[in-house]
Order: sequence, then C-alpha cells, then structure tokens
Amino acid sequence: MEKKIGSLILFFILAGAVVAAGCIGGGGTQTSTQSSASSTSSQTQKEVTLVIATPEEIEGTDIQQVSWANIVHDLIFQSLVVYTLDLKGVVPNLAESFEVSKDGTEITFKLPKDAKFSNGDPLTAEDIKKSVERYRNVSPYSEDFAVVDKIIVKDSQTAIFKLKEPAGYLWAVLASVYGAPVNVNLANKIGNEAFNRKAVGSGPYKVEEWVQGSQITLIRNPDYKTHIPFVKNKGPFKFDKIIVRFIPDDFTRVSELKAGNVQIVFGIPLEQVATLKKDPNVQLLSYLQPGIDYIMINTKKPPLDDVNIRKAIALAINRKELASALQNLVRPAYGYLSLAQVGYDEATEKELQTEYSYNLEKAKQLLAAAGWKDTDGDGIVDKNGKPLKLTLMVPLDRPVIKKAAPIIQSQLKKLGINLELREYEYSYIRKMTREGNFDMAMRAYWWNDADILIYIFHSDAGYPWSNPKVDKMLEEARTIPDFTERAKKYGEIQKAIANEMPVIPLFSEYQYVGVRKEVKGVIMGIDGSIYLNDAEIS
Amino acid sequence: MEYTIKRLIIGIFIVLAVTVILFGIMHAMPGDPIELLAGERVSPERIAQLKAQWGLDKPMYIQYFYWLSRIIRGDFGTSMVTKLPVIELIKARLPYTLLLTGSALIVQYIIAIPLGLLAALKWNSKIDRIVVTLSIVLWSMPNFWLGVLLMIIFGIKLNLLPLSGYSGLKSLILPLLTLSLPSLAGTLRLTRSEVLEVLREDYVLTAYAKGLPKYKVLIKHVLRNALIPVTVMFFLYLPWLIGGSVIVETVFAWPGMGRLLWKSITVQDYAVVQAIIFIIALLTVISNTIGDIVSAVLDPRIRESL
Repeated sequence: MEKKIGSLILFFILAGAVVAAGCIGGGGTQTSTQSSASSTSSQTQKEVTLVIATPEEIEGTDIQQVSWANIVHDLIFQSLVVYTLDLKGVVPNLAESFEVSKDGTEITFKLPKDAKFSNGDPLTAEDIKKSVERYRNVSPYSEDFAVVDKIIVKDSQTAIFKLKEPAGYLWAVLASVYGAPVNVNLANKIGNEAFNRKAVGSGPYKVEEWVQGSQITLIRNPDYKTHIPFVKNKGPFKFDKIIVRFIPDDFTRVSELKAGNVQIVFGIPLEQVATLKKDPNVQLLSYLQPGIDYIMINTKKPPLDDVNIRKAIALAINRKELASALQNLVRPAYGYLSLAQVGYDEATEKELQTEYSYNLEKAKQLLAAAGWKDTDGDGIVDKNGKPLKLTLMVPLDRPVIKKAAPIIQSQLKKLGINLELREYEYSYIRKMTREGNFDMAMRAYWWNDADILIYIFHSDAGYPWSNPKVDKMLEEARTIPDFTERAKKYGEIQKAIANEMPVIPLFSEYQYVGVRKEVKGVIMGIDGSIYLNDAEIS
Repeated sequence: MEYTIKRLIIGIFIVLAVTVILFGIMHAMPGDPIELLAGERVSPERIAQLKAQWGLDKPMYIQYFYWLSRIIRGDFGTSMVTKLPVIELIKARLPYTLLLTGSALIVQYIIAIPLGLLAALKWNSKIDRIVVTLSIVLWSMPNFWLGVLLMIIFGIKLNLLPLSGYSGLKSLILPLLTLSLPSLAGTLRLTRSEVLEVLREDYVLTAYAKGLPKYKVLIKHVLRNALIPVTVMFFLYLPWLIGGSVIVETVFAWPGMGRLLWKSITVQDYAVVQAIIFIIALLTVISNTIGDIVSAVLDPRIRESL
C-alpha cells in the first residue's frame, strides 16, 4: 500500500516536471532560445545579436500604457524629435524637419514621404494625430498634451500642432519616447491588451517575442530611418537582433557583464562602480540624474513654518561632505534643477551656492533669531523648555537617499537639532507629504525638463507650500519658447523658491551604464538618453 | 469519509478566510499600484481618475465581493501594472517554477532518504558523522549565498554553466542545486532521526528475533513507520512547488512565480498577489488534507484516533 502511494506521488511529481519542461519547450521560448543560441554560434550567417540587461522588467511594450519607459521602448518607438546631447536644443528624429511659428503656438512637423511603422503600415500625419489622441485617453501622463488645442493634418506628410499658448515644456514629451507615434490603427484593431504585448511603433526594432519575467527579443526594422544630425548611421541599426534581459539581482546582472554574456547593463549599483572602473573589458558611461534629490519641509507645521529655521537647516547641511561620504557618486545641488535638465541655469546655481553653502555659524544665528537656543547645555536647542526634535521621512527603496539620511542627521546634530529618521516606502512618503502629515521628507524627481517644478511647487500640486507669485512665474515659464530665455525665468523661480526654502536641494545622483569594450559607438546624452545608431560589435 | 468531508468544508472556510485577510492587508498597506507607479508629473486629479477606472475608489468590501464573484467564475482579473489578464501572467511563469521546484523536490527526496537511512543504520560511525556534519553545513547555508557561490564557481571561474536566466536545461542546474541542497539536509536529518527512533522500538527487535532477513525488517517494519513524517512533510512542501522561491528565482533571474509574486507585492498589484496567494492557499488546504489521509492510510493508529 505504502509503496503504491509512494510511487504514485513520485509519478505525479515526475509527470509535473515533464509537463513543465514540455510547456517551456513547446511554447515560443524554444524558438527564441534556439535562435539566440544559433545567432551567437553561427558567425557564418553573420547574424549579430546584442544583449542588454536592465534591472526592471517592462510593464508592457506599449509606451502609451506604461508608467515608466526603458531601453525596450527606446528601441520600439521613435519620437518626432530629440534633444541635442547637451539639451540645448531640439533636432529632428522621425520628422524630416519641423518649424515653430513666430508666436510659438504652432509647430509644424514634416514627415518623410515613405515613413512606415515597423510592421510596414504607412505612417502619415493622420497617425501622428491619432497617437496624440490615444495618449490623452490611455496614458497616466495624459495631461502632457493638455496644451495642444488641436492637430491639423495638412497633408499626409504635414501635421500642425495648434497650441493654446506657447509651450516650451512640450518638447520634453515630443522629444522623449513617451510622445512617440504608435500604430493606433493596429491598436484599435487588436485591442489595447494585445497591443501592450506586441506594440508597433516606427523605432529601429520590432517585438519578436516577450517572455515574461525573462527577456524580450527584438528584431531589426529594415525600414527604420532617422534624421538625428549627431548620429552617422541614419538607417537601420547594425544588430540583427537585440535581446533585452530583465535581471533584478545586482550581483547577477554585473556578473553577466563581466562574463561577457551581456554587452550593455543598465542600473550599475554604486558598490560596483569602483571595481568596474578597473575592469579592462568594461567601460562605464555615466550621466547625471535629470533632477534632484531633496528634502521637502512641511511649511505649515510649527516650528518649521518659520523660514529662518528652514534656512538654518539648509545652511547646516554640508553637501560637499555629504558627496564625499557617498564616494562622490552624487553632485551637490544648491538650486532646484540639475545640469541634465532643460531650463538649468548655471548662473543661478552659482548664486544659490554662494548663498546656501555650508555655514554653521550663520545657521546658528538664524536659529537663535527664531528663539531657539541651547539653554540647558544638552547640545539640543530649545525654546520655552521644549527641545527641537524633528522627524525625517526616508525612502527605504531609494538606496542613495537612504545612505545620505544618517549623514544629514549627524550634520543637523551639530546645529542642535534632534532629527529622528523614519523609513517608509517612497510612494507612501509622497502620499503623506500631500496630506501634510510630516515634518521633513526626502524625495526625488526625474524628468529632463524644468517644467517638473510645477508638479512640486505649484499650488495645484497639492503639497503644503505654495506661493501665488511662484505659481504665476511657473505658469509663465512654461510658455517661453526660447531655451535661454526660459532657463533665465527658471533661474528667477528657483531664487524665489529658495527665498522661502520649502524644499532643500541636496544632490543629483550619477548613474552608470556598463558597456563591454567590444561594443563601439554608443552615444549618450547628458541626461542619459542613449543612441545605439552607430553602435557595433568589433 | 466523513472525516474527509469535514476536512474539506473546513478547508473552504480557511481559503475564504485567507482571501479576506489578504485582501484586508493588501488594501491596508499604504499606497496602491497607481500611486506607486505614477511618476512625479501625474497630478492628483489624474491619479483619482485612474483609480476610479480600476474601481479603487469603491469601499473595500465592495471591491472584495467583486473580486470573489469573479474568482468563483474562474476570472482572476487583470494586472494593474501590465494591463494583462492575471491568468496569462501565471501561465507564463508556472512551467518554469514547476520545472525548478519539482525537480528540486525529486532530487531532494532521492538523495535525502537513502542517505538518511544509511546514516541511521551506521549510527555513530564515520559515515554517519560525515553525513550529519555535511547536512548541518548545507542546512545552515543561506539560499542567496549558496546561489552566488555556485554562480562564481561554475558560472564565472569554470565557465561551465550559464549564470542566469532560462536557456535550456543546462541553466536549470545551478538554481536546482541552490534550491535542493539546503532543504535536502532537512529531509535527510528527519529521515535519519525517525529511522533511529524506529530502530529502537520493540517490534523491530521482535522482527529480528523472529529471524526475518535484515532487508525485510528494514523495508516492512522500519521504513514503513519511519517514513510517515517524511511523507507528511512532502505534502507540506507541495503548495510551494507553485509558489516558487523568491530568493533563488531573483538571484538566477529565473522567470518563475516567486519573482512574479514578489514584484507584484512591491508594486501592490492586487489582482496578481491575490490570485497567487489564493492558489497557494487552496493547494495548501488540499495537500494538507491529502497528507492527513495518506498518513491515516499508512498508519492505522492515526486512522483509529480520528
């Protein structure tokens, strides 16, 4: 009896494993593993495969339905225009050319005559219009195109964006993969769900197969054409196939790079930067976070409603010391924008740096002026017998910010502030700050246009601090079409904000992408946008 | 029979209770997938709008009954992150997890039971001590550490096996070892101690005294009794065949259920987490019940005490 049961159990397990193996083998995976294996082994056919690894799996392939884009979307889709590598201007990508009317309310895009989606469908001005309309319906960022009044299809090659007002910030969407045209006719035909599995754009690659939890295989789009002036190769990419693998574990991802199984790795962990810099087979490309990590202060809650205390805290934070404690993998920030953002103004940054660089004496004076002094000699300032004790919310899911928190805690101790650290998830902190349920909170933002400030400092953003004057300035800055003029305006805005110090800028993080030495020709912009047009394996 | 029915009815209630508690915990956790995923440039209004689209603005008990009524109809809902049906996500991952956990379980039992038996029979000998020491070493190795160690040795230094991902059966070896070695030690020690205990029983002595050949005593009297707890343990393992191992799957970038569950919890993708936990709870109840019945079949004493 027991034997029978025993063998029965064994049978089930074996059968299960066989079925499992069968499912994997019989499904589409087989084809992809086989073909990727053959592509690496058979040089005779000269099929070249590039393997890229990212920590995060894509939510889906349809750029309009996801919250976060990654390299996969960059390869499937093609924006109308792109920023120059230094973010000082906009140049054509899919569009052959574009023109902005004098008053800035009309942008005319000229598409190439033979523009095609990667499945061969023609890509006309009508598709541009439909893409924007669909974006407004399905994207979480649907408001990105709010300023577009209508899109006029002049002819099959000409699309005119009529804007409600001039909008310099619209470039950030148009020049990013988020605003890239998608094959809406196909999406309507097969439905959003199917389209999210296998989206079609006009980028250099098309989806062959997405093995969930594992990888996505992309095959070259032979019809791809670009008008980006700073790449040499304006035609199809040099890799027949690109496999993007999703490898969540840092050690594993970097090991695959070192072993040469993967040629490009995103999300190099900070601990690995030093060792990889010494690796002769790997080059590290770095870029700066397009944004800053900062401390938001609850300006409605005493004693932080006093601007002197906020400024005292800002002056007591030694950002240089902070940066060196973080192995200089961050760049100190004194203003609210980073170098890797459109709208950054060097002069303003310098000015704010002189004003708010570390100055403990001045900080102490400000505290004293607000009535906070250390009367009982315990090292903590007090007022009316109450010591100054504040809490700082620290996001446990942001490694660099998390490391900075205890350093800030010890720096503020010197000022006589008892700072208590509390760790929460980032999104919880965002919720608590919107509800005004905090003293101080560490946060960050990532977006390559200064317009992001409107989502933090405008009264509509829903955070404790706002100022009608700054509201108005932020609204005005959006409408300035000229890059330099706009940066100047954002300079004024930053100074106006710093004057009330509702947010203390800390630093921008450096990010690293690991590339095998045999891969040549990878181009990266200062904000981390990556171009593989000229890339090849030597 | 009556016992079985009773167990099944209790089982249904347990599964229901698990879903209610899980639903409560998931929704009590701060944030939701929409807030968790949305970047800084999504306004509070748009977040509210998206929440309403997914029915997150409704009271929790209504959301729960919607979910329950769908589950009863066999519809696991849609993932808020990937916007794909949950069943599709599970189907994509399940074969990989079954392959890994199933083969790990087989390896574990095939190696552990004979070794445990051997160690018990050669009690206090050199073999016994080696087996016991080895099992302590294996048992105390954390999964992630063992995985990384194996990866460094076989993947990087010797360059024999693929480091991570699934690319054919060769890539199964390292995660399989990582998963089965530590749990193998547990089963081994359990087998050994049970066999040792049974060997000291009077009826074994009687069997020997009767003049039965050694192998007959071992199989008929010793193993039959010693393996009851081992068998029960086996059934307790079964639900986790489906659940997979978060750590091993993450270290080896194995596209299995464990990672899906872990990732879904971190972004609070309610539908996915609930579906997986529901399936695991269901399987736990079923396999526990089967485990009880099997042990009752194997051991008449348990049968009588029911």
